[in-house]
Amino acid sequence: MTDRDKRTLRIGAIIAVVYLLCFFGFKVMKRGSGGAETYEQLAARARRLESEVRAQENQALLFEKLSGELKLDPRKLTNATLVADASAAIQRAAQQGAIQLGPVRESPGREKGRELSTIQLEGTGAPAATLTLLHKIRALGYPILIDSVQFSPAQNRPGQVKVNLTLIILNYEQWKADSDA
Amino acid sequence: MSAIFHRAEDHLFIEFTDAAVFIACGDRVLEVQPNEGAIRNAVALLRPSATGEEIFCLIPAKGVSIRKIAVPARSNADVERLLPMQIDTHFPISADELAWGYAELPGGVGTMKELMVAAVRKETLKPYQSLLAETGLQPRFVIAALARRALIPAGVGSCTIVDTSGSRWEMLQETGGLPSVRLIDPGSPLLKEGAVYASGRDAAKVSATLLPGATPTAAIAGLRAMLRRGEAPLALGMSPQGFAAKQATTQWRWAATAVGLAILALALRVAEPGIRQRHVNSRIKELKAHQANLPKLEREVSFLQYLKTNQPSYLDAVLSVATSAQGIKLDNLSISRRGELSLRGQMQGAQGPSQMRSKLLESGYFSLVTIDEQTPVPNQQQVNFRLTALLRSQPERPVASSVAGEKQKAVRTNSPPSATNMAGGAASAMAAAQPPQVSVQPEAPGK
Repeated sequence: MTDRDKRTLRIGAIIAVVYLLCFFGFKVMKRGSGGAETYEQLAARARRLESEVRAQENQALLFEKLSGELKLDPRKLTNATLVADASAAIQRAAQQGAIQLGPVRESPGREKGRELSTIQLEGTGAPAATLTLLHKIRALGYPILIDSVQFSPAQNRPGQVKVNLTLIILNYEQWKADSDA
Repeated sequence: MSAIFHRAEDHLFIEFTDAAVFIACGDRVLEVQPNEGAIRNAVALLRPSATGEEIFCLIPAKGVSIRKIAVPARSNADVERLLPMQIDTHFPISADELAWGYAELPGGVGTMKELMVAAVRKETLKPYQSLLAETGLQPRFVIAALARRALIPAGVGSCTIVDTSGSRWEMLQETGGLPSVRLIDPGSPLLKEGAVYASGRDAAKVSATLLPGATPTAAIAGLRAMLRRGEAPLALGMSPQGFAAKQATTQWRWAATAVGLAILALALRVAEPGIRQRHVNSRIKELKAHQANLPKLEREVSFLQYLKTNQPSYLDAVLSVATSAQGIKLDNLSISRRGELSLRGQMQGAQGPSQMRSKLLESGYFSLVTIDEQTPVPNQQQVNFRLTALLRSQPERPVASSVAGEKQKAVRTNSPPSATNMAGGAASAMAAAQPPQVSVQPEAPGK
């Protein structure tokens, strides 16, 4: 066998190997790319799930913070006794602050406004005590919104003010129903 | 990897001269006495850093014969087959008793190939072989004088190269492309003809050009230069094709490694999903289990946020009014959940309500402050007024928040302010604005 023949054989072998590599390589690549697609979908699902879990964790933390701040856990509220309990708590807070309470009026709230009841109360006391009451109402442990507040001088009681408060007690059951809808 | 991709400098070079042995690898060169122990120690010292595969032994020109032989050959195999017979003809002793090597010369006609054949008696190599065999080395033998030729700049035709390292100088003369080697005495008149290049210890004594780049020795430098250029040196006992094939194998390793890396990169791409899929699956399972343990609090959080954000900060509003009102007799102050503030009162001087309005606006808590009505009280230099304003929501209070920040800095403690403190702060601010005037007075009967 001459050198030329050897060279021809060598080149032929290289071409055959390259062809086989390409042929089987493409097949393997094709199969591999199918697997890669499935893997990409799986990885995307994992990423999505991870972001969902993170959002849920954040919500749990936020709930803890707000719940602690307002001293309120909406899951424990029951509509049947909510207004009575809230009204009693407000009156108790007022009395603790040495505020002399006047008339207290309760009326049913607007259903559309997700309100359970509206309470109007009058009281007389020192300015600091009335402001303390305003602050306390937010953290009584009931879903109470102060709709309006009015200060005016207390008649025949120098150094004291009369405060008129309109409070709204929110209906969490209604809120839940609206959210589900 | 370094063993695959080596440089010419990475081989181990051993040059024997009359007086010393030079052993070089990379940048390191050792000059030792030509005895077994010294050579063994030097080789042991340098060999670990020799990543190249070859060990070259450069021998002196003593006993070397160079001939030009023409061989009728179509292929290299023909050369290998016919050359020993031609050597038998051209040399006084049989090819079997010689260690010989050859290089092809340019200028062959048709199938006739012109070869430069260098040969030396096998007994001449034996001392070197036995010396190196002790160190476990099997080197390629190269004639040092021929290696020095590689340092001659291109374009120089006939020339003389002389090495002055030994007691007798080695002279290589090149005429018509065929070199001849002989030993001469120092100061020989032969050196005065043509272009002369000199190297070695006494090179300065020769009126000649020094061989360029002849470090560590001219022969080692020349051999390295040849290897760098990809030329096959004339090695005794080995055909140039054999050497070239070896060199080519080394070069092919680059290509093979590149192809291997490319295939590995593709394979990794294909294999990655298979390898990582299990990990991703287990991660999804973990996340699902964790998610199942977390409570769903979306509605509760939105309810609490609504509760927190849907009423103005009444205390802030009262505090702001209290600090803005100087000399006021307050009759009525009302604030609604929508942030509407309404204030009725009496002030000293006609400018009082306007000044109060400016202060309320400056506080940053209020917008749209309007004095709805202002009526002077006859004979008393006082004015009755009615004022309405809109309380800004929390994010719209840049000035207010900075003012509040400064106030907070002033009273900062390690514990958050209690309800009583905050309410008390607002009330005391209300009272401290102008104590006698700001205190809330009962309405006059019949008013």
